[in-house]
Amino acid sequence: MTASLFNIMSMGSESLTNSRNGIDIAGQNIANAHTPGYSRQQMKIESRAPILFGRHVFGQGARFQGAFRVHDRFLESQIRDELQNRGFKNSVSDGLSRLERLFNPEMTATVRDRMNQFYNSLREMSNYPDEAAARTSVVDSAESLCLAFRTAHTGIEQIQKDINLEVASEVGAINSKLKAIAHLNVQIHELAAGAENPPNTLLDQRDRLVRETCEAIGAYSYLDDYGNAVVRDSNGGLLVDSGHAAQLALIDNDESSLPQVRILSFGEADMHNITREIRSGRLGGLLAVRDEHAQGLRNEVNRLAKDFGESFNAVHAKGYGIGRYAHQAGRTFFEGLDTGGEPAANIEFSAFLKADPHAIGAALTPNSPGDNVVLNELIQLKDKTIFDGGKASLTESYDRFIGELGVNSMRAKEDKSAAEVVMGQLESEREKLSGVSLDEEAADLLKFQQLFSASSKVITTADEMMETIIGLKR
Amino acid sequence: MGRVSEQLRFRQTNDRVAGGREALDRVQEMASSGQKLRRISDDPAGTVRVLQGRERILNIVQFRKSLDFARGFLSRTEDALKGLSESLNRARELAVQQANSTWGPTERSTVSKEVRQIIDHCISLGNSSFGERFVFGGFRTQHPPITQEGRFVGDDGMIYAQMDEDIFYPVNIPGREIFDIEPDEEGRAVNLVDSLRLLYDALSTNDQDGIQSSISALDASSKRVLDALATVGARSSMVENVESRLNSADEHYNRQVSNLSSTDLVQTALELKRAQTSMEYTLQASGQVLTPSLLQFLK
Repeated sequence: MTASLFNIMSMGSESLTNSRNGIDIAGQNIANAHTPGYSRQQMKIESRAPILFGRHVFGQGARFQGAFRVHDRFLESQIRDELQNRGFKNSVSDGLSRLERLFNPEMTATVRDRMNQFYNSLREMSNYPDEAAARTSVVDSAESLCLAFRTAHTGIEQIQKDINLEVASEVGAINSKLKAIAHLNVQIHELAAGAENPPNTLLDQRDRLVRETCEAIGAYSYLDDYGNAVVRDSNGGLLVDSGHAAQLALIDNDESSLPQVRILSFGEADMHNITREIRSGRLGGLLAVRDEHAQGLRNEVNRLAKDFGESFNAVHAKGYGIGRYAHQAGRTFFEGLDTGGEPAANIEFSAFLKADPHAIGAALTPNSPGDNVVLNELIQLKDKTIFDGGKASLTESYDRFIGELGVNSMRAKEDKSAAEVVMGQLESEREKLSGVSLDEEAADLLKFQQLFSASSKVITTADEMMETIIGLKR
Repeated sequence: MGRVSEQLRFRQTNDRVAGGREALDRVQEMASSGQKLRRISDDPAGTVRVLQGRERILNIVQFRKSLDFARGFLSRTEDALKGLSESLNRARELAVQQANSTWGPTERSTVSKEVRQIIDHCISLGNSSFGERFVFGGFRTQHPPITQEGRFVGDDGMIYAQMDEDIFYPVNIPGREIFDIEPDEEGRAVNLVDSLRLLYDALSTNDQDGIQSSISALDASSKRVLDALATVGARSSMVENVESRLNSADEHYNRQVSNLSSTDLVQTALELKRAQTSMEYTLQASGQVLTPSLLQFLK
């Protein structure tokens, strides 16, 4: 007993279908060779269970099981972790380089330069305390110094405001991604229920969205028992659970114009403030720059303006003017330091002294136009270690926070490029495994084309044999 | 065997080209600006040193102005003191000459007129000014410190000028030391103008003993003027010392700032060439690597 010719024919025709499926999968792969996040698909095929004809076992051909994507879940989670890191490092580095631009060495209108000019004008006035020209130049340079303080403050604040806009657009994008992931969860669940093989492209899409979410906000993800992707933020708060997505919102109830990021998780009545909890991803980086680096710098500049202005005022108040003011002391030099707002934003040169520079107090004794004792004390104030809690002089304090900013920015740049390198390696790993190679697909095309010809040959051969058998009857 | 996917191939090529471009951009920026310190993060410690150096250089400009002021003030003071010294010497010569009994009242009266002029001259020397300031007035710089009677009406203010970061140095000699002397033990006021006036009075009254005794008072005044001259001389040489110190500091800081912040032209040119060459090779290689595919050989 042997296999029937019909059996051979049906084996051939199944093989014909299989080779067509192979071409189809190669076509799909080629079409998606440059689709981001696409994983190449492989045809899964297995031999059919043999059957017994009489005393002999005969093969029943090959059965097509479907197309499966080539995917490594472990690698995927590594990539997600690294993406959080890269997102964070990227936005910190960008933010810091924006901040340091305000204090670049080639800038000449910084607080430090203006301070220097101001002090040199005081030195000149100390040589000629009784001359109006020297006093006028002190007035000019004092105003420039105040302006430099205000400009530095505005610059920092502007960067914080720009970051707020970026935070808002990140939050919008994250919200729509979370919704899309939840939606895909539902779709995948529905499609997978009726099919033998998984909905590969939808899985790819969902993986890509989860990756993007991780890079944006810093999250982790796993599959639940039903194959749904669950996404949680770095503190474990649920972002996506099966078909439900949490939503983020920006609430601006802060006077310093630093809006909070709040989350409305499903099943919760209140929005929960997670501003301080986002420590990774681009959003975490943006918030770190806004609330730590920029705000820290803003505080330093405020503190500098206040400490400098107040100590200067205290010494200056001892000084008598000249001319009409030869018997008057106790004038305020810098104003706006204690109005309750931010000193660096409000510091102003006294309008009274501007109107009449003769009132600037240079003399320790009344009615002594050549007396520069108070001026000299003001000049020496610059080198007194009264800043940073008595540890640094005025310029030392400034240089310290400039230096810190530079070091932070340098480190952030290094961290960023390190993260890029690691990410590049992981992406390469992923591409090596899941990426489409056109050479390979070309070979597959050839392979399945030949398989197609061979399968048809099987059918025609069986057909000819059938003819022969039918011809026996004549 | 590692698979090389299409996206990997293209991405790596992109990365390489972008990396080359970035390096080229950086060198180009350095070459065109001549500055290697563009951002604080390029070299935080260097930036701080450049800022400090720049401040020091600007300050030196100001300290030089202060030195000019001090120099002018001191030389005005010195001129006045020299004039005083010469006048006192002339008065002493006349006193010694007239103390001789060979001279009679007519000659002494004539000489007394010269002494009168010397007194006026000394008062005007005491009221010498630098710019609009009386140099001997202490802090009272706006009023003549010596009255017509020869009394000192200034104060004892010492004017300090900052000549270097840590040097505050006095530039004036308060007139009291020269013009206004406390009465001695015998109750005689021997201030400068009074010592001349003693001579004048003795000459006009033909008082030979008075002339004789005025000589010691003149000597005492002279000594005070010479002491003050010595002080002024010491200060002038101090000013010159500081000046040479500032010059060498200026040179030092200019060199330091330029070393830290400016590019070395030759080195930058070499780096630029290298970056350009490597960029060209990257582009060439990428062009050749990206095209071949098995598909081209399948017919």
